[in-house]
Amino acid sequence: MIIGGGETVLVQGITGRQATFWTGRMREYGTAVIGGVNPKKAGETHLGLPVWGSAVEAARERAIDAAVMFIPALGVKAAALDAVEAGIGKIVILTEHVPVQDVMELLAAARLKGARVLGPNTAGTVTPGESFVGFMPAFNDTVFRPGRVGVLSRSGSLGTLICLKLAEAGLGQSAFIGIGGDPIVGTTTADAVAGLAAHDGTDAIVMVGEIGGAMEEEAAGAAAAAGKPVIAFIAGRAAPAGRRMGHAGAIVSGGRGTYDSKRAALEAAGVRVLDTPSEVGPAVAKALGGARRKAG
Amino acid sequence: MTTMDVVSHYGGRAANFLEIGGDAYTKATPALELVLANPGVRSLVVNFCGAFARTDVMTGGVIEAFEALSPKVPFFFCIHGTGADEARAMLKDRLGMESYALMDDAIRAAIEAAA
Repeated sequence: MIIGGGETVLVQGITGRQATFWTGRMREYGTAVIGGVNPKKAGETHLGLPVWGSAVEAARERAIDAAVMFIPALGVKAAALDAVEAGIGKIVILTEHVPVQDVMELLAAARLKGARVLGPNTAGTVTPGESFVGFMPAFNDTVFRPGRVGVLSRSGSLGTLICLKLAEAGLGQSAFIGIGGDPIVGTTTADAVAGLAAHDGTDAIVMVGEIGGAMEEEAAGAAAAAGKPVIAFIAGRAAPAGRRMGHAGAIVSGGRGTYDSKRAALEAAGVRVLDTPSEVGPAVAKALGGARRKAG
Repeated sequence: MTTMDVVSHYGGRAANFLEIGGDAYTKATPALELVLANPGVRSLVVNFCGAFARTDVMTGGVIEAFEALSPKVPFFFCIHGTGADEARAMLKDRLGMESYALMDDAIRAAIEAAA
């Protein structure tokens, strides 16, 4: 799930306060936002862009590669089904607290039409120097700069810290993929690792995980088969079991989703697992040096 | 959650975990009151990496809380990301404190102060 500079983006819920602010930032950065949706304001313009009554109506007039949703939790299912029906191939859901039942229904509908969903509860995606979709500080050049390290993260903030640490070490990013903090998401850690493994512009992959669920364990196979260095940081080593740690998906329950299980699975797959986020810059630099020596 | 992990990595023990969530900017004073009510708290780490959230606004909130509650325990700041330059300047002007460049150093200093 990488959204490149040439890809067109529809903003669902474009007239809201947050959507207005972030649509402005996305366009300044270079994201090809073609307009938005608000059923109550169809036919009007907002920020100089057309507003349609639905994604389906928008898709009749324009080619749309991706949709991003600034929609309240209970409206997300309907908006996602609209985007799927419109034939949009990439759907980014930023909203937190979408009912799990709704997520399962919208993911099933997306799968039938071959649409890929990012999130819910993601901060979005960044292709440094080209575009970003969501609410990441892509425009902050102490954090994001074009490069060849692919980063995927269940947390937007922690992902930002990791990108900052890479930038401090002189390493730019090929892509940032926000997986999202919910227990059920459209693009899993394994999907993102496989996507970055297949991405020509990516030389190394940094996986930022956290306790809860089994996505990191399930990504171990993709990491082992990546053919490029994979470095990981997993948050929640010191977290007590049975407590939800910020994200709905970040909980150790019934002995599942523990730090130790994730670390062991990743290390068995040849992934270097870091103890603190500050180690990421030197670790990736070293892995890239090693990979180059091997290739040379 | 990661701050807690790094505290534990350097041999410290987190006295509490408090996620404020949502509209966090206005809740710094009640949040700090809750944390300081815990007698186990001997030093305090404020670690911000602003993405969506603006660190200058959050730091302003913490400074207000600090001025309202005049806490006795030492504070250790590490501020990065959106609005960090303004946030660091504010911290220096109003509390006379510096932000650590590395979260690891802020945490190590806090652990030392708590020992």
